[in-house]
Amino acid sequence: MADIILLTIIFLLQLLLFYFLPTLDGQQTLFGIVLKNDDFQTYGLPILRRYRRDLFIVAVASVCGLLLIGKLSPNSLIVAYIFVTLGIIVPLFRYLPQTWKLRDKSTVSRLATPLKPRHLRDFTNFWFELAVIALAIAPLAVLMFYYPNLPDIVPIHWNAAGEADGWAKKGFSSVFFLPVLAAFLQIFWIILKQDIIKARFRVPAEQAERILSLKEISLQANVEMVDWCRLACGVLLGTVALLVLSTIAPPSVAAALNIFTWVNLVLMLSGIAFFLYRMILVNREVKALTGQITFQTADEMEGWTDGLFYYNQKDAAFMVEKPGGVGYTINFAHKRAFLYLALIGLPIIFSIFSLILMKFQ
Amino acid sequence: MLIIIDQNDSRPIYLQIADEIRFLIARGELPENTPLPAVRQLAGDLGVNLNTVATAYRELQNEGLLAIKHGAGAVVVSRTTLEKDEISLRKPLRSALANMFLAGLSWAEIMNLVVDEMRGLLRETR
Repeated sequence: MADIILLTIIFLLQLLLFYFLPTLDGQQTLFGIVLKNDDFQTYGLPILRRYRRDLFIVAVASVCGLLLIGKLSPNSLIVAYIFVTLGIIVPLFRYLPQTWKLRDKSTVSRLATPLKPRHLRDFTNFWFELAVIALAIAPLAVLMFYYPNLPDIVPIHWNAAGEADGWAKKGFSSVFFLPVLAAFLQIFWIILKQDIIKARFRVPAEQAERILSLKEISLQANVEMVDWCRLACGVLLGTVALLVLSTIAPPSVAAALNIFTWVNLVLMLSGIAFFLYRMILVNREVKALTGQITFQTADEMEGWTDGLFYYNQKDAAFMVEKPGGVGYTINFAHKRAFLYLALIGLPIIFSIFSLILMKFQ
Repeated sequence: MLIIIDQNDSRPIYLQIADEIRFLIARGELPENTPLPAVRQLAGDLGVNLNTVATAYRELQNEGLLAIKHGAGAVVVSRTTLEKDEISLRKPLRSALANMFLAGLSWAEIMNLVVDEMRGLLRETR
Protein backbone atom coordinates (compact mmCIF):
# COMPACT_ATOMS: atom_id res chain seq x y z
CA MET A 1 0.00 0.00 0.00
CA ALA A 2 2.84 2.38 0.89
CA ASP A 3 4.38 2.06 -2.55
CA ILE A 4 1.10 2.96 -4.29
CA ILE A 5 0.71 6.07 -2.16
CA LEU A 6 4.34 7.09 -2.75
CA LEU A 7 4.03 6.63 -6.49
CA THR A 8 0.74 8.54 -6.56
CA ILE A 9 2.37 11.46 -4.76
CA ILE A 10 5.30 11.53 -7.19
CA PHE A 11 2.81 11.25 -10.05
CA LEU A 12 0.76 14.20 -8.81
CA LEU A 13 3.93 16.30 -8.51
CA GLN A 14 4.82 15.45 -12.10
CA LEU A 15 1.31 16.39 -13.14
CA LEU A 16 1.63 19.74 -11.39
CA LEU A 17 4.90 20.39 -13.18
CA PHE A 18 3.46 19.56 -16.57
CA TYR A 19 0.37 21.66 -15.83
CA PHE A 20 2.49 24.80 -15.44
CA LEU A 21 5.13 23.82 -17.98
CA PRO A 22 3.69 25.71 -20.98
CA THR A 23 3.77 29.12 -19.32
CA LEU A 24 7.04 28.90 -17.41
CA ASP A 25 9.08 31.00 -19.83
CA GLY A 26 7.04 34.13 -19.26
CA GLN A 27 4.58 36.35 -21.07
CA GLN A 28 3.54 35.56 -24.61
CA THR A 29 5.32 32.21 -24.54
CA LEU A 30 3.79 28.79 -24.85
CA PHE A 31 6.01 25.74 -24.27
CA GLY A 32 8.90 28.19 -24.34
CA ILE A 33 8.05 29.28 -27.88
CA VAL A 34 7.57 33.01 -28.30
CA LEU A 35 4.25 33.83 -29.96
CA LYS A 36 3.18 36.98 -31.72
CA ASN A 37 1.20 39.23 -29.40
CA ASP A 38 -2.30 38.77 -30.77
CA ASP A 39 -1.83 35.11 -31.53
CA PHE A 40 -1.33 34.21 -27.89
CA GLN A 41 -4.80 35.44 -26.94
CA THR A 42 -6.57 34.13 -30.01
CA TYR A 43 -4.84 30.82 -30.67
CA GLY A 44 -2.42 30.21 -27.82
CA LEU A 45 -4.92 30.15 -24.97
CA PRO A 46 -7.18 27.56 -26.68
CA ILE A 47 -4.15 25.32 -27.20
CA LEU A 48 -3.22 25.75 -23.54
CA ARG A 49 -6.75 24.82 -22.48
CA ARG A 50 -6.79 21.75 -24.74
CA TYR A 51 -3.37 20.69 -23.43
CA ARG A 52 -4.52 20.93 -19.83
CA ARG A 53 -7.73 19.08 -20.65
CA ASP A 54 -5.65 16.26 -22.14
CA LEU A 55 -3.47 16.23 -19.04
CA PHE A 56 -6.55 15.87 -16.87
CA ILE A 57 -7.71 12.86 -18.90
CA VAL A 58 -4.26 11.26 -18.62
CA ALA A 59 -4.25 11.94 -14.87
CA VAL A 60 -7.61 10.32 -14.21
CA ALA A 61 -6.78 7.31 -16.39
CA SER A 62 -3.37 6.93 -14.74
CA VAL A 63 -4.61 7.06 -11.16
CA CYS A 64 -7.29 4.48 -11.95
CA GLY A 65 -4.73 2.31 -13.72
CA LEU A 66 -2.20 2.57 -10.89
CA LEU A 67 -4.78 1.68 -8.24
CA LEU A 68 -5.99 -1.27 -10.31
CA ILE A 69 -2.49 -2.61 -10.94
CA GLY A 70 -1.55 -1.96 -7.33
CA LYS A 71 -4.33 -4.31 -6.29
CA LEU A 72 -4.03 -6.94 -9.03
CA SER A 73 -0.34 -7.13 -9.82
CA PRO A 74 1.86 -5.14 -7.41
CA ASN A 75 5.04 -6.40 -9.07
CA SER A 76 4.22 -4.55 -12.29
CA LEU A 77 3.70 -1.27 -10.49
CA ILE A 78 7.03 0.27 -11.49
CA VAL A 79 6.55 -0.71 -15.12
CA ALA A 80 3.02 0.72 -15.04
CA TYR A 81 4.46 3.89 -13.58
CA ILE A 82 6.87 4.26 -16.47
CA PHE A 83 3.92 4.08 -18.88
CA VAL A 84 2.11 6.70 -16.83
CA THR A 85 5.10 9.04 -17.04
CA LEU A 86 5.21 8.57 -20.80
CA GLY A 87 1.49 9.32 -20.88
CA ILE A 88 2.04 12.69 -19.22
CA ILE A 89 4.53 13.64 -21.92
CA VAL A 90 2.20 12.77 -24.83
CA PRO A 91 0.13 15.99 -24.70
CA LEU A 92 3.39 17.95 -24.92
CA PHE A 93 4.32 16.18 -28.16
CA ARG A 94 0.84 16.77 -29.45
CA TYR A 95 0.52 20.51 -28.81
CA LEU A 96 4.08 21.76 -29.16
CA PRO A 97 4.08 21.37 -32.99
CA GLN A 98 0.73 23.21 -33.13
CA THR A 99 2.25 26.01 -31.08
CA TRP A 100 5.32 26.05 -33.30
CA LYS A 101 3.16 27.05 -36.25
CA LEU A 102 2.14 30.20 -34.35
CA ARG A 103 5.66 31.24 -33.45
CA ASP A 104 7.05 34.71 -33.79
CA LYS A 105 9.20 34.21 -36.86
CA SER A 106 11.58 37.10 -36.30
CA THR A 107 15.19 36.18 -36.84
CA VAL A 108 18.33 38.08 -36.05
CA SER A 109 20.81 39.26 -38.64
CA ARG A 110 23.31 40.91 -36.27
CA LEU A 111 24.85 38.29 -34.03
CA ALA A 112 27.63 38.37 -31.49
CA THR A 113 29.68 35.73 -29.75
CA PRO A 114 32.67 35.91 -27.39
CA LEU A 115 35.97 35.06 -29.04
CA LYS A 116 36.88 32.74 -26.21
CA PRO A 117 37.49 29.02 -26.73
CA ARG A 118 35.23 26.85 -24.58
CA HIS A 119 36.93 23.76 -23.21
CA LEU A 120 35.73 20.89 -21.03
CA ARG A 121 38.68 21.53 -18.72
CA ASP A 122 37.33 25.01 -17.84
CA PHE A 123 34.26 23.35 -16.39
CA THR A 124 36.08 20.52 -14.66
CA ASN A 125 36.88 20.40 -10.97
CA PHE A 126 39.64 17.98 -9.99
CA TRP A 127 38.20 17.04 -6.58
CA PHE A 128 34.74 16.50 -8.01
CA GLU A 129 36.09 14.16 -10.68
CA LEU A 130 38.06 12.32 -8.00
CA ALA A 131 34.88 11.93 -5.93
CA VAL A 132 32.93 10.57 -8.90
CA ILE A 133 35.69 8.07 -9.72
CA ALA A 134 35.89 7.00 -6.07
CA LEU A 135 32.10 6.52 -5.99
CA ALA A 136 32.36 4.35 -9.07
CA ILE A 137 35.22 2.21 -7.78
CA ALA A 138 34.00 1.77 -4.18
CA PRO A 139 30.95 -0.44 -4.89
CA LEU A 140 33.01 -2.42 -7.41
CA ALA A 141 35.72 -3.04 -4.80
CA VAL A 142 33.18 -4.03 -2.13
CA LEU A 143 31.40 -6.42 -4.53
CA MET A 144 34.67 -8.03 -5.60
CA PHE A 145 35.70 -8.44 -1.96
CA TYR A 146 32.47 -10.10 -0.88
CA TYR A 147 31.90 -12.06 -4.09
CA PRO A 148 33.17 -15.39 -2.67
CA ASN A 149 30.84 -15.02 0.32
CA LEU A 150 27.72 -14.65 -1.81
CA PRO A 151 25.29 -17.58 -1.98
CA ASP A 152 24.65 -19.35 -5.30
CA ILE A 153 21.39 -17.48 -5.77
CA VAL A 154 21.48 -13.68 -5.47
CA PRO A 155 18.61 -11.17 -5.42
CA ILE A 156 18.52 -8.94 -8.49
CA HIS A 157 15.14 -7.24 -8.22
CA TRP A 158 13.31 -5.52 -5.42
CA ASN A 159 9.80 -4.14 -5.15
CA ALA A 160 9.13 -0.59 -4.03
CA ALA A 161 8.99 -1.69 -0.38
CA GLY A 162 12.54 -3.02 -0.58
CA GLU A 163 11.71 -6.73 -0.51
CA ALA A 164 13.57 -8.96 -2.95
CA ASP A 165 11.26 -10.49 -5.54
CA GLY A 166 13.62 -11.63 -8.29
CA TRP A 167 16.66 -13.86 -8.13
CA ALA A 168 19.38 -15.14 -10.44
CA LYS A 169 22.37 -17.44 -10.25
CA LYS A 170 25.52 -15.80 -8.98
CA GLY A 171 27.70 -14.77 -11.90
CA PHE A 172 29.37 -11.79 -13.57
CA SER A 173 26.10 -10.54 -15.13
CA SER A 174 23.99 -10.74 -12.01
CA VAL A 175 26.50 -9.22 -9.61
CA PHE A 176 28.42 -6.69 -11.71
CA PHE A 177 25.71 -5.58 -14.15
CA LEU A 178 25.00 -2.30 -12.38
CA PRO A 179 28.61 -1.12 -11.87
CA VAL A 180 29.32 -1.74 -15.56
CA LEU A 181 26.14 0.13 -16.52
CA ALA A 182 27.19 2.95 -14.19
CA ALA A 183 30.53 3.20 -15.98
CA PHE A 184 28.74 3.38 -19.35
CA LEU A 185 26.50 6.13 -18.02
CA GLN A 186 29.44 8.18 -16.76
CA ILE A 187 31.00 8.09 -20.21
CA PHE A 188 27.66 9.21 -21.67
CA TRP A 189 27.33 12.09 -19.19
CA ILE A 190 30.86 13.31 -19.88
CA ILE A 191 30.34 13.27 -23.63
CA LEU A 192 27.06 15.13 -23.11
CA LYS A 193 28.79 17.65 -20.85
CA GLN A 194 31.47 18.29 -23.49
CA ASP A 195 28.84 18.78 -26.19
CA ILE A 196 26.83 21.20 -24.07
CA ILE A 197 29.96 23.26 -23.46
CA LYS A 198 30.70 23.30 -27.19
CA ALA A 199 27.06 23.98 -28.10
CA ARG A 200 26.17 27.03 -30.15
CA PHE A 201 26.60 30.07 -27.95
CA ARG A 202 25.52 33.44 -29.23
CA VAL A 203 23.73 36.64 -28.36
CA PRO A 204 22.11 39.39 -30.43
CA ALA A 205 24.33 42.39 -31.19
CA GLU A 206 21.88 44.65 -29.31
CA GLN A 207 22.32 44.46 -25.51
CA ALA A 208 25.05 41.91 -26.21
CA GLU A 209 26.93 42.26 -22.91
CA ARG A 210 23.79 41.96 -20.81
CA ILE A 211 22.41 38.94 -22.65
CA LEU A 212 25.88 37.39 -22.64
CA SER A 213 26.11 37.33 -18.85
CA LEU A 214 22.61 35.82 -18.67
CA LYS A 215 23.40 33.10 -21.20
CA GLU A 216 26.61 32.32 -19.34
CA ILE A 217 24.60 31.75 -16.16
CA SER A 218 22.29 29.43 -18.08
CA LEU A 219 25.18 27.46 -19.56
CA GLN A 220 26.81 27.14 -16.17
CA ALA A 221 23.55 25.88 -14.65
CA ASN A 222 23.13 23.38 -17.46
CA VAL A 223 26.65 22.01 -17.00
CA GLU A 224 26.23 21.87 -13.23
CA MET A 225 23.00 19.95 -13.75
CA VAL A 226 24.87 17.33 -15.78
CA ASP A 227 27.53 17.06 -13.07
CA TRP A 228 24.79 16.73 -10.44
CA CYS A 229 23.27 13.87 -12.43
CA ARG A 230 26.68 12.22 -12.69
CA LEU A 231 27.11 12.34 -8.93
CA ALA A 232 23.55 11.29 -8.12
CA CYS A 233 23.54 8.48 -10.70
CA GLY A 234 26.88 7.22 -9.46
CA VAL A 235 25.66 7.08 -5.87
CA LEU A 236 22.27 5.66 -6.84
CA LEU A 237 23.61 2.87 -9.02
CA GLY A 238 26.38 2.15 -6.54
CA THR A 239 23.87 1.77 -3.72
CA VAL A 240 21.53 -0.43 -5.70
CA ALA A 241 24.53 -2.49 -6.88
CA LEU A 242 25.38 -3.16 -3.24
CA LEU A 243 21.84 -4.41 -2.57
CA VAL A 244 22.91 -7.70 -4.09
CA LEU A 245 24.78 -8.22 -0.83
CA SER A 246 21.59 -7.79 1.21
CA THR A 247 21.28 -11.55 1.73
CA ILE A 248 24.61 -11.77 3.51
CA ALA A 249 24.48 -8.37 5.18
CA PRO A 250 22.75 -7.62 8.48
CA PRO A 251 19.11 -6.50 7.94
CA SER A 252 19.84 -2.97 9.16
CA VAL A 253 22.38 -2.46 6.36
CA ALA A 254 19.90 -3.68 3.75
CA ALA A 255 17.18 -1.43 5.14
CA ALA A 256 19.54 1.54 5.26
CA LEU A 257 20.57 1.00 1.63
CA ASN A 258 16.92 0.85 0.63
CA ILE A 259 16.03 4.11 2.36
CA PHE A 260 19.21 5.71 1.03
CA THR A 261 18.19 4.80 -2.51
CA TRP A 262 14.87 6.65 -2.19
CA VAL A 263 16.52 9.66 -0.54
CA ASN A 264 19.09 9.75 -3.32
CA LEU A 265 16.37 9.65 -5.96
CA VAL A 266 14.55 12.56 -4.34
CA LEU A 267 17.80 14.54 -4.06
CA MET A 268 18.63 13.89 -7.69
CA LEU A 269 15.23 15.08 -8.91
CA SER A 270 15.33 18.11 -6.61
CA GLY A 271 18.74 19.10 -7.90
CA ILE A 272 17.59 18.80 -11.50
CA ALA A 273 14.53 20.92 -10.67
CA PHE A 274 16.74 23.56 -9.05
CA PHE A 275 19.04 23.87 -12.07
CA LEU A 276 16.12 23.89 -14.50
CA TYR A 277 14.54 26.64 -12.42
CA ARG A 278 17.70 28.74 -12.81
CA MET A 279 17.70 28.20 -16.55
CA ILE A 280 14.02 29.13 -16.78
CA LEU A 281 14.64 32.35 -14.84
CA VAL A 282 17.34 33.27 -17.35
CA ASN A 283 14.92 32.55 -20.20
CA ARG A 284 12.31 34.80 -18.63
CA GLU A 285 14.76 37.66 -18.29
CA VAL A 286 16.11 37.28 -21.82
CA LYS A 287 12.51 37.28 -23.07
CA ALA A 288 11.76 40.44 -21.07
CA LEU A 289 14.85 42.21 -22.41
CA THR A 290 14.68 41.26 -26.08
CA GLY A 291 11.30 39.71 -26.80
CA GLN A 292 13.01 36.46 -27.77
CA ILE A 293 14.61 33.59 -25.90
CA THR A 294 16.85 32.07 -28.55
CA PHE A 295 18.34 33.91 -31.50
CA GLN A 296 18.23 32.11 -34.80
CA THR A 297 19.14 33.09 -38.32
CA ALA A 298 16.70 32.53 -41.18
CA ASP A 299 18.73 29.51 -42.39
CA GLU A 300 18.65 27.91 -38.97
CA MET A 301 14.89 28.42 -38.57
CA GLU A 302 14.34 26.21 -41.61
CA GLY A 303 15.96 23.28 -39.83
CA TRP A 304 13.22 23.04 -37.23
CA THR A 305 10.45 20.81 -38.55
CA ASP A 306 8.03 21.24 -35.64
CA GLY A 307 9.97 23.00 -32.94
CA LEU A 308 11.20 19.69 -31.53
CA PHE A 309 13.45 18.18 -34.14
CA TYR A 310 16.44 20.00 -35.68
CA TYR A 311 17.91 18.81 -38.97
CA ASN A 312 20.20 21.20 -40.82
CA GLN A 313 23.04 19.98 -42.99
CA LYS A 314 24.40 23.49 -43.48
CA ASP A 315 24.87 24.04 -39.76
CA ALA A 316 28.37 23.51 -38.34
CA ALA A 317 27.05 23.29 -34.79
CA PHE A 318 26.12 19.93 -33.29
CA MET A 319 24.23 20.98 -30.19
CA VAL A 320 21.84 23.93 -30.42
CA GLU A 321 19.44 25.73 -28.13
CA LYS A 322 15.86 24.59 -28.28
CA PRO A 323 13.57 27.37 -29.52
CA GLY A 324 10.84 25.93 -27.35
CA GLY A 325 11.60 25.04 -23.80
CA VAL A 326 14.84 24.93 -21.94
CA GLY A 327 18.22 23.51 -22.77
CA TYR A 328 19.70 21.99 -25.90
CA THR A 329 18.97 19.44 -28.56
CA ILE A 330 21.12 17.89 -31.26
CA ASN A 331 21.40 18.62 -34.96
CA PHE A 332 20.43 15.26 -36.40
CA ALA A 333 22.11 16.11 -39.70
CA HIS A 334 25.49 16.26 -37.97
CA LYS A 335 27.77 13.23 -38.10
CA ARG A 336 28.08 13.22 -34.32
CA ALA A 337 24.43 12.21 -34.07
CA PHE A 338 25.56 8.65 -34.81
CA LEU A 339 27.70 8.69 -31.68
CA TYR A 340 24.62 9.39 -29.61
CA LEU A 341 22.78 6.61 -31.38
CA ALA A 342 25.54 4.28 -30.22
CA LEU A 343 25.66 5.78 -26.73
CA ILE A 344 21.96 5.18 -26.22
CA GLY A 345 21.83 1.92 -28.12
CA LEU A 346 24.82 0.23 -26.47
CA PRO A 347 23.59 0.36 -22.85
CA ILE A 348 20.19 -0.90 -24.01
CA ILE A 349 21.76 -3.78 -25.92
CA PHE A 350 24.09 -4.47 -22.99
CA SER A 351 21.17 -4.47 -20.53
CA ILE A 352 19.07 -6.83 -22.64
CA PHE A 353 22.09 -9.07 -23.18
CA SER A 354 22.87 -9.16 -19.44
CA LEU A 355 19.26 -9.83 -18.50
CA ILE A 356 19.18 -12.74 -20.93
CA LEU A 357 22.45 -14.09 -19.51
CA MET A 358 21.07 -13.78 -15.99
CA LYS A 359 18.01 -15.80 -16.89
CA PHE A 360 19.88 -18.59 -18.62
CA GLN A 361 23.04 -18.90 -16.57
CA MET B 1 35.65 40.39 -26.39
CA LEU B 2 32.62 40.05 -28.57
CA ILE B 3 32.74 39.62 -32.31
CA ILE B 4 29.71 40.96 -34.19
CA ILE B 5 28.55 39.75 -37.60
CA ASP B 6 25.86 41.40 -39.70
CA GLN B 7 24.24 39.20 -42.32
CA ASN B 8 22.65 42.21 -43.96
CA ASP B 9 25.98 43.94 -44.45
CA SER B 10 27.28 44.05 -48.01
CA ARG B 11 30.74 42.93 -46.92
CA PRO B 12 31.28 39.15 -47.07
CA ILE B 13 31.16 37.43 -43.69
CA TYR B 14 34.78 36.24 -43.74
CA LEU B 15 35.85 39.86 -44.19
CA GLN B 16 33.65 40.96 -41.28
CA ILE B 17 35.19 38.28 -39.06
CA ALA B 18 38.72 39.24 -40.09
CA ASP B 19 38.00 42.95 -39.57
CA GLU B 20 36.49 42.31 -36.15
CA ILE B 21 39.48 40.26 -35.02
CA ARG B 22 41.91 42.85 -36.37
CA PHE B 23 40.03 45.53 -34.45
CA LEU B 24 40.16 43.55 -31.22
CA ILE B 25 43.88 42.89 -31.67
CA ALA B 26 44.49 46.58 -32.36
CA ARG B 27 42.56 47.57 -29.24
CA GLY B 28 44.65 45.23 -27.16
CA GLU B 29 41.73 43.01 -26.20
CA LEU B 30 43.53 40.11 -27.85
CA PRO B 31 47.12 40.33 -26.65
CA GLU B 32 49.83 38.02 -27.93
CA ASN B 33 49.44 34.32 -27.12
CA THR B 34 45.67 34.64 -26.71
CA PRO B 35 44.01 31.51 -28.06
CA LEU B 36 41.13 31.95 -30.47
CA PRO B 37 38.26 29.47 -30.69
CA ALA B 38 38.42 26.53 -33.06
CA VAL B 39 36.99 27.09 -36.53
CA ARG B 40 34.16 24.70 -35.72
CA GLN B 41 33.22 26.53 -32.53
CA LEU B 42 33.19 29.99 -34.12
CA ALA B 43 31.34 28.79 -37.21
CA GLY B 44 28.68 27.11 -35.09
CA ASP B 45 28.32 30.12 -32.80
CA LEU B 46 27.91 32.58 -35.67
CA GLY B 47 25.85 30.29 -37.87
CA VAL B 48 28.23 30.46 -40.81
CA ASN B 49 30.03 27.94 -42.96
CA LEU B 50 33.24 26.35 -41.66
CA ASN B 51 35.12 27.61 -44.72
CA THR B 52 34.08 31.18 -44.00
CA VAL B 53 35.80 31.15 -40.62
CA ALA B 54 38.75 29.19 -42.00
CA THR B 55 39.23 31.80 -44.73
CA ALA B 56 39.18 34.61 -42.17
CA TYR B 57 41.75 32.87 -39.99
CA ARG B 58 43.94 32.10 -43.02
CA GLU B 59 43.88 35.70 -44.18
CA LEU B 60 44.95 36.89 -40.74
CA GLN B 61 47.68 34.26 -40.65
CA ASN B 62 48.98 35.54 -44.01
CA GLU B 63 49.13 39.02 -42.51
CA GLY B 64 51.25 37.68 -39.68
CA LEU B 65 48.71 38.28 -36.89
CA LEU B 66 47.59 34.70 -36.20
CA ALA B 67 49.09 31.26 -36.20
CA ILE B 68 46.56 28.56 -37.03
CA LYS B 69 46.82 25.51 -34.80
CA HIS B 70 45.72 22.54 -36.83
CA GLY B 71 42.29 21.48 -35.59
CA ALA B 72 42.49 23.60 -32.45
CA GLY B 73 41.76 27.14 -33.53
CA ALA B 74 44.39 29.81 -33.73
CA VAL B 75 46.63 31.90 -31.57
CA VAL B 76 47.45 35.59 -31.75
CA VAL B 77 51.17 35.81 -32.45
CA SER B 78 51.77 39.43 -33.18
CA ARG B 79 50.09 42.80 -33.07
CA THR B 80 52.03 43.96 -36.09
CA THR B 81 51.19 42.95 -39.63
CA LEU B 82 53.93 41.81 -41.96
CA GLU B 83 53.26 44.19 -44.80
CA LYS B 84 53.06 47.89 -44.18
CA ASP B 85 52.36 49.12 -47.69
CA GLU B 86 51.23 52.75 -47.40
CA ILE B 87 49.19 52.67 -50.58
CA SER B 88 47.05 49.72 -49.42
CA LEU B 89 46.62 51.40 -46.02
CA ARG B 90 45.44 54.65 -47.61
CA LYS B 91 42.82 53.04 -49.84
CA PRO B 92 40.18 52.13 -47.20
CA LEU B 93 40.80 55.47 -45.46
CA ARG B 94 40.26 57.37 -48.71
CA SER B 95 37.10 55.41 -49.35
CA ALA B 96 35.73 56.03 -45.85
CA LEU B 97 36.47 59.74 -46.02
CA ALA B 98 34.81 60.03 -49.41
CA ASN B 99 31.69 58.25 -48.04
CA MET B 100 31.49 60.59 -45.09
CA PHE B 101 31.88 63.62 -47.32
CA LEU B 102 29.18 62.34 -49.67
CA ALA B 103 26.92 61.73 -46.68
CA GLY B 104 27.05 65.46 -46.09
CA LEU B 105 29.38 65.67 -43.12
CA SER B 106 31.44 68.79 -42.74
CA TRP B 107 35.23 68.51 -42.41
CA ALA B 108 34.96 69.34 -38.73
CA GLU B 109 32.42 66.57 -38.21
CA ILE B 110 34.61 64.17 -40.12
CA MET B 111 37.62 65.10 -37.98
CA ASN B 112 35.52 64.54 -34.85
CA LEU B 113 34.52 61.10 -36.08
CA VAL B 114 38.10 60.22 -36.89
CA VAL B 115 39.39 61.36 -33.51
CA ASP B 116 36.54 59.55 -31.76
CA GLU B 117 37.30 56.29 -33.56
CA MET B 118 40.99 56.68 -32.77
CA ARG B 119 40.16 57.16 -29.12
CA GLY B 120 37.99 54.06 -29.22
CA LEU B 121 40.84 52.07 -30.66
CA LEU B 122 43.53 53.39 -28.37
CA ARG B 123 41.47 53.28 -25.19
CA GLU B 124 42.79 49.95 -24.04
CA THR B 125 46.12 49.89 -25.80
CA ARG B 126 49.44 50.88 -24.29
